[in-house]
Amino acid sequence: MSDLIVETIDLRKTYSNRRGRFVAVDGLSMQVPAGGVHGFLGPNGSGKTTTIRMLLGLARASGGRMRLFGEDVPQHLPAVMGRIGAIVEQPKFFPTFTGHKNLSLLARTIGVESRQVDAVLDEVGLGERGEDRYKTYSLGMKQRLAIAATLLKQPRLLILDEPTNGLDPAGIREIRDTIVGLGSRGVTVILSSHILAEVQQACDSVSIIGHGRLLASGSVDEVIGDSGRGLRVVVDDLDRGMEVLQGRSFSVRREATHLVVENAADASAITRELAESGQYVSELTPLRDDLESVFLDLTRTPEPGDGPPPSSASSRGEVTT
Amino acid sequence: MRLFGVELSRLFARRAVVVMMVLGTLAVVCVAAGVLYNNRPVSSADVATAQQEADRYNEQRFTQRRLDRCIERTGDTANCESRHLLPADAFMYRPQLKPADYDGWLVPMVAICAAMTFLIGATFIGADYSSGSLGTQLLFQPNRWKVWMAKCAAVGVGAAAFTALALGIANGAILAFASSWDRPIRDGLLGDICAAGGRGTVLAVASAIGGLGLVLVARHTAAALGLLALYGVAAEAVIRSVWPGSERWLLSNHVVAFVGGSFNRTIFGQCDGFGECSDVVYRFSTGTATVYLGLTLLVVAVVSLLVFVRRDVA
Repeated sequence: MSDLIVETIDLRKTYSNRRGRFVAVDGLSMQVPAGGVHGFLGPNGSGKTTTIRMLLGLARASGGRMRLFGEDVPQHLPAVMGRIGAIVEQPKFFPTFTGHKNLSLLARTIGVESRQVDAVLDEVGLGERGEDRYKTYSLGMKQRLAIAATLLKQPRLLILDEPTNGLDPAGIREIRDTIVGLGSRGVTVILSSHILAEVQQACDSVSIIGHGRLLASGSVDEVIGDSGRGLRVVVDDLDRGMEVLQGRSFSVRREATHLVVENAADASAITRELAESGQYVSELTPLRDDLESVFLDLTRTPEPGDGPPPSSASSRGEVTT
Repeated sequence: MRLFGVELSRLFARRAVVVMMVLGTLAVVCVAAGVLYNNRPVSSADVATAQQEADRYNEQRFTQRRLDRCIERTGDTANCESRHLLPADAFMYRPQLKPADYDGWLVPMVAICAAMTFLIGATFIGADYSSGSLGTQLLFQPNRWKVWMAKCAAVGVGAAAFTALALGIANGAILAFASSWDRPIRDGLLGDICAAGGRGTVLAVASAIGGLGLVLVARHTAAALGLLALYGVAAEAVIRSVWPGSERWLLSNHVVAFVGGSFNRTIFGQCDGFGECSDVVYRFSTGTATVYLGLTLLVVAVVSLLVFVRRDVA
């Protein structure tokens, strides 16, 4: 069996309506290795949810191929679906049934005993509210019920599409801890989210898509870029410090409160040179992109007259434009 | 089989479905109660009243004059009295219960059950769509053929149970009252009623699957219900008015033939394109109705299955 748990090859999805043909996913080729938490990022309308829905058999692909656990889907989806838990967009259950009833029906569908329902309800903290109707649940409780439903299968792959939508900070943290916990237990988690700080904290690797195409993919460090953007240096006399460093062939830029040294391979050389000239460093910090800036850089809509896509993207993991 | 059990549980766990079944059963029982009330036995007071009215009629002057003329002309008193004097029965203003005429009440009962099972089938899958839970269900059983089969089987079994129960209660009550009122129940009548009720149950099952199928195609319960209402209220009348030869194709005729048995429908004064008018008799047989209804259901079922298997689910 392949060690890729998810693979799409030239995946396409087009919708037709009275106003014409709309391409939602445009030749997306993506790979997710087994294990860890994988972020699946893209702006609204970039094709994330459509891709997830195609992988799960809820939408038909217009072209291309998909594999889950090395099996072609949707042809072999029934064979692999027992290993996949998923929440797509938002939890969807019968509003007039209790949480327990909703899960019991799903559990019976896959031949899971009803005592397992109690166990997963307890696991997500809904044991006390299991007999309440779903429509009385808060959004956070609905999300937790959806996670409980995915746990009924004891999945090897968990696909979560915006699982923290509408949650308060405590709820977001709770869901993040659950995701990280599942990832550490060997479950591969694909997390689609707009909250990039959450993704950066929870994910081992990411794929970024825009306009239905893969823009970047790799480990979080690869995508953000290992080299960083230089060093932030603070000394008492910024002008003197800049003069000293430029005299030693450093590329230095002065900002209002600090200096930025862009070609600093060795931070100790900077402190030594400045100290020898009587300028003592009060702050020295590496400047790095975060996932948010990379994401915005990759997915921004080009203005008229813009050149080719940002050159920085080409240094980030595996990049397709 | 497991999936069928799940769908059956889901069907009966829905309050709206249970309410519709209870209301449908009550409506059918009301039909039975109406039949029994309108055909209740006459009391001795009713007989005395009728006799008084008959006597009053027979003693009127014009009645006596016609009787006297008849006797003068023919000399046959008995014959003239039978022709011109009315018995007390003529003033009994309601018929007596005739169990042999069961199709008169069974067809409306089946129509109620079929309408209810259509609603049950439509709202069952409609709730799946509107709540979005159909997508969640497909994440647990992605084989849509199996899901479609299980849902159809569940609404079919639910519709059969409801219809059989409602018809059983109503017709059982009518027969019990007929027996206690000493009305004639011929040999084999019970079997005939059971057979007709069985066909009615089959029709209700088909209606439930039809309702489910139409909502799968239209994706909205309201669209399917609107179609039912439109057809029930106006469509056949409009079709009849614009296409005089349409009688043999109308659903209602085949429903009556399927449940109540073969019958002839006479359309008086149907005219051709040359202005020649004559009465036209259409024959509707149970066999033809079975084929007609079966093909209709088959088309709806196949189209709904293909749509369900191919369509994206939110």
